[in-house]
Amino acid sequence: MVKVSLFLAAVLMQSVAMAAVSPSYQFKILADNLNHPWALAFLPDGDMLLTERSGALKRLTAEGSVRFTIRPELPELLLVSQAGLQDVMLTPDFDQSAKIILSYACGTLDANNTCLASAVLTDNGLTNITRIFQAQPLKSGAAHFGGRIAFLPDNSLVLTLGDGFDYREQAQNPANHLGKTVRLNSDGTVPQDNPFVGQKGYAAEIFSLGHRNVQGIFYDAPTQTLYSHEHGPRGGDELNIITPGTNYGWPVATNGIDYTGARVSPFTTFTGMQQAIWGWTPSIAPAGMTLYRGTLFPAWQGNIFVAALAAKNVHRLEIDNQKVISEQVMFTELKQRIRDIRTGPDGALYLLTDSAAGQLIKVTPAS
Amino acid sequence: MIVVRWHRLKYLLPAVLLVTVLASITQSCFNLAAIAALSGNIPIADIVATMWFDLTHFSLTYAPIALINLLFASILLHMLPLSRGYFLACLLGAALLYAMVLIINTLVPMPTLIAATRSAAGLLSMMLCSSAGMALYLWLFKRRPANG
Repeated sequence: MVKVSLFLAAVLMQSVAMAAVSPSYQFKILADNLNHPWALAFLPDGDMLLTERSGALKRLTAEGSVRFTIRPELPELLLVSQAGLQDVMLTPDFDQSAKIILSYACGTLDANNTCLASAVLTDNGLTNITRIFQAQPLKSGAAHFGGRIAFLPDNSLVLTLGDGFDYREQAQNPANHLGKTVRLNSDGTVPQDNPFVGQKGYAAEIFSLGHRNVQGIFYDAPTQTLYSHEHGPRGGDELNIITPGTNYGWPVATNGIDYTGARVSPFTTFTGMQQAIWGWTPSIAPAGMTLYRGTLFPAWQGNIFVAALAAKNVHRLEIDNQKVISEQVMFTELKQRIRDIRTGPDGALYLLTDSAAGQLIKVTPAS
Repeated sequence: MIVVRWHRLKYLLPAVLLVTVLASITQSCFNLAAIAALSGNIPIADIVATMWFDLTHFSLTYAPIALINLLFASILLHMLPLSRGYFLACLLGAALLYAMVLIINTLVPMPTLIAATRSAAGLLSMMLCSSAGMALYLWLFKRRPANG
């Protein structure tokens, strides 16, 4: 009893301490009536690129005015349910090449997976749209595409993928891309130092395996750490540190259960499978993420921000030595599903809310 | 017009219970088999714990499905101008469950709600559970007292 009381007191004191150091902030809606906005990227001139799941790519000014809205002619773009246009990233050599990378669901309802395309950004839209990768095998159903991209310091990229929902056991099959993250060069070729290159029975693109549906990834250069989070089923959402060749357990080791209430697996841990560094049960449905290295909110320096769809909030995680030491739930007053969160070059946080009338919201310190 | 004879519920409810229990155990078996294929042998204690967990959790989801399944199957059974044979009862239970699984999967956001029904073998096994339920229902119904 005394132990429980001490624990509760410690939790309460920590919450009070976090609340005390949390800076006050204000919201500014930069754009609205966005159709399920999915991702945001910042251009060197201050503009932003914004994707909508419905297939549109918008270029916005820093104030949110629309410079153009296009529907890129992505090869075999699939638009249904969770399938659609997903992430957008500038390539590391964007200043010279003007190249961007887009992730999207491709194929038909009966034969689809996640694709990557490269394109050149112009004043009016995109040119030279080329598909550079298609995850294999093609599967049916429009669920669990992953689709987030992060660039590593060597200019290779990591693309997150999903298990396709009905194919969860395939997340443990090293011969395909279901339930994996893959590492590619920005032209879609396979880096020869990928963890399983040359191994019989392994897809050379695989960077890590045992994932369910990874919709958040961020490479933190100062600590040289690649963080990702993934959706669990009912419970079992995870925050992981991604290292090459590591197996993250799904569906053998999980804290989640099926939506029907059935157990997915009797195991929450398993030998040879990496445990998450943080988890959420019940599920918050983690979507985008950022690790704050801006200047506007010094108190949040080095914190991870996780956008949550089902929980309709943002989770701020304080990290120390690659461990989560505290968590604060934020932005609940928006009462909206949050699809993505990014740190802007100005140090502000940018949120995308998920609905048919979604918004781009800028978070700055209260004046 | 469909006339619901409520006294038949006393024959239907045990059948729904049987289907729910059988379906829960079937669901556990298919999930466990899929995991065992990845992990190797699963300790017996974990198998029992998983089955108990599913009986106390999955069955809450499945019982309404089984109720609707058998209710409509039994109504059809009494409407059809055929002898109320066990084969017809089992067929109706299985066929209606198949139809329900298709309908449920078009209504829910995920491709397949019930994991066991992802495979043909799993779907067939769940259909057999419904057949067993209808067989029990008909057996109870035929054993009713003359004034029942």
